[in-house]
Amino acid sequence: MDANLSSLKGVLGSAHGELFQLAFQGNGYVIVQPSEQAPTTTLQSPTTGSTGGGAGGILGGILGK
Amino acid sequence: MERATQLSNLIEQSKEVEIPDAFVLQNKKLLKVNMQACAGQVLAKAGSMIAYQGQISFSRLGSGGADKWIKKKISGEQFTLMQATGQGDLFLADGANDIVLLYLTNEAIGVEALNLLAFTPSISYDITMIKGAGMIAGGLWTVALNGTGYLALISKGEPLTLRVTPEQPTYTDPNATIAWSQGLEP
Repeated sequence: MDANLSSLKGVLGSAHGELFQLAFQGNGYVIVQPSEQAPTTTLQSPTTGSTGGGAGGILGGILGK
Repeated sequence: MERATQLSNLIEQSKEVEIPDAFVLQNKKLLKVNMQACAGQVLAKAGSMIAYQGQISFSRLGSGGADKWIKKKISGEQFTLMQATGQGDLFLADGANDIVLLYLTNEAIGVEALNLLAFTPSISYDITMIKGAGMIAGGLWTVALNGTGYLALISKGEPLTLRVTPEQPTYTDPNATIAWSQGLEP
């Protein structure tokens, strides 16, 4: 599997409107869901039940939230 | 118009599904983990516990080595697992999304990290980044799973499986992609 970065032109208004595509080549299968939104990240503490919000993304991860 | 039901009807219609398997779907959106059938341990998406019966403790999964720790940090902690340990029944769900229940038999599968709900410890895992996406995408991190055991995936709605052949490559939206066979070559 590979990310198709040529679709970066999507930012400029391509027909499919996606920033990235995944390209699957070879023999096998791929399972997709009928939603263009991924499930949300769950950051609740399993011990306290409190929500672990704070900085997200790469920076948040490096900072350890 | 739907009329009110008797309490006894609700109890009957929504009662627990009693099957001794390690992972049992209670309905499309709720998974029961029989801890005894999992040798007392299961790995699940942090925060996915909605109820449990018995003696079960929860902890954030350890780093699993420096390599995995660094990958977790770089991926923005999208892949946050908890380890449940003990005896009893554990009930898991994720935002009322559908759950896809699989049993791997010495098989490998790639899963988008946010679509991973739970798996038995008999399945090994590693965090990988999709080639070509680099740091630009920020979230194109996936989990490679390998082994024998139960695996529960999250799907927003009923999933569709597409066959991929050398003659028919397949292109997907990363956010809509749940999982893929490891046999696929980049």
